[in-house]
Amino acid sequence: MAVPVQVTWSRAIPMVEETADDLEVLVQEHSAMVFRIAYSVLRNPQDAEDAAQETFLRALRYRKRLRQVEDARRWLARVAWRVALDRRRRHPETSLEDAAEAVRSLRASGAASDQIAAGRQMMALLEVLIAALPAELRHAITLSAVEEMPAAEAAAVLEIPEATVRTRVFRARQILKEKLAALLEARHDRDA
Amino acid sequence: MTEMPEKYAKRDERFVDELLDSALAQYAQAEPRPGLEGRLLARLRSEPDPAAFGWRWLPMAAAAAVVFAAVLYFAGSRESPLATRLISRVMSRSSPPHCRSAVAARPISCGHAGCSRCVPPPS
Repeated sequence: MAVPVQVTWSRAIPMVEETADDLEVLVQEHSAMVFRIAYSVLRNPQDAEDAAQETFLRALRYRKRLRQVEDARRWLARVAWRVALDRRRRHPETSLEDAAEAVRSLRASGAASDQIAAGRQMMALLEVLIAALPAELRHAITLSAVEEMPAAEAAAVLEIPEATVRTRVFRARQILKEKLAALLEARHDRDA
Repeated sequence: MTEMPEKYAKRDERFVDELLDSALAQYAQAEPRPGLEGRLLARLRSEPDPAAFGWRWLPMAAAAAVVFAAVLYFAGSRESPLATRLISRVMSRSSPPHCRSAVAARPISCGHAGCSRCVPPPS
């Protein structure tokens, strides 16, 4: 849990005390989730932080509406998701073959699956594979990868039924698994 | 879609499963730089309050409305239309001296044949 931050709101900016408190609580409770949602899309910490700032600025602008929202966490998650999608412009910088070759080398050296998964090469490979998925599957698997985001919340963000999210995540995983297996298999074929 | 090769052993399949699970678990687990909350709150604090916008401009808008209402009131209290009197006033300042008396009497046209500043009388 994050340590509360004491904030003194500037006198030059007339802000109702209640509003400042509300926003402070929102930032303290949900900034990590907002950051991770943005990061899952943008794949860059600085871009994710910029998106998080934009998300909370929107919360400030629409705070009257936000007070009437039943679940502020879901509202923020949806805004963060949209902001991140709007800002996404870069494509994966690593080529599929380069990333796959690096992962194959790690595996050949006897590294365990969790060791390989923690590596930059595997993240790059997964990024390329996810980027190649159809948008609806990509969105579902990306949001489900965020730790704080259960299927019900992902469904709320994507505005689709929860069962649909589960189906899409399952299909996305199947495709990723098959592609990953084929990429690792390429080494077996070459070695044979 | 790529078919899973049949020769792919159970062990390899399990390896791929575990690899994918681990990788997806870490896919979105990046930690922000320390102090994210403080930076977010500082940014929010520096943002002008949109709710205050209306109040800030309200006195100026009210003053402008009063001035406009006053102009309309005084314009409506005379017999001649506002546009005519405004034209008359402008012309009386900018016309040659020989036109000024005529302008005062008949604001649209002074009747002077050579006066290029005046509106010619209807034929």
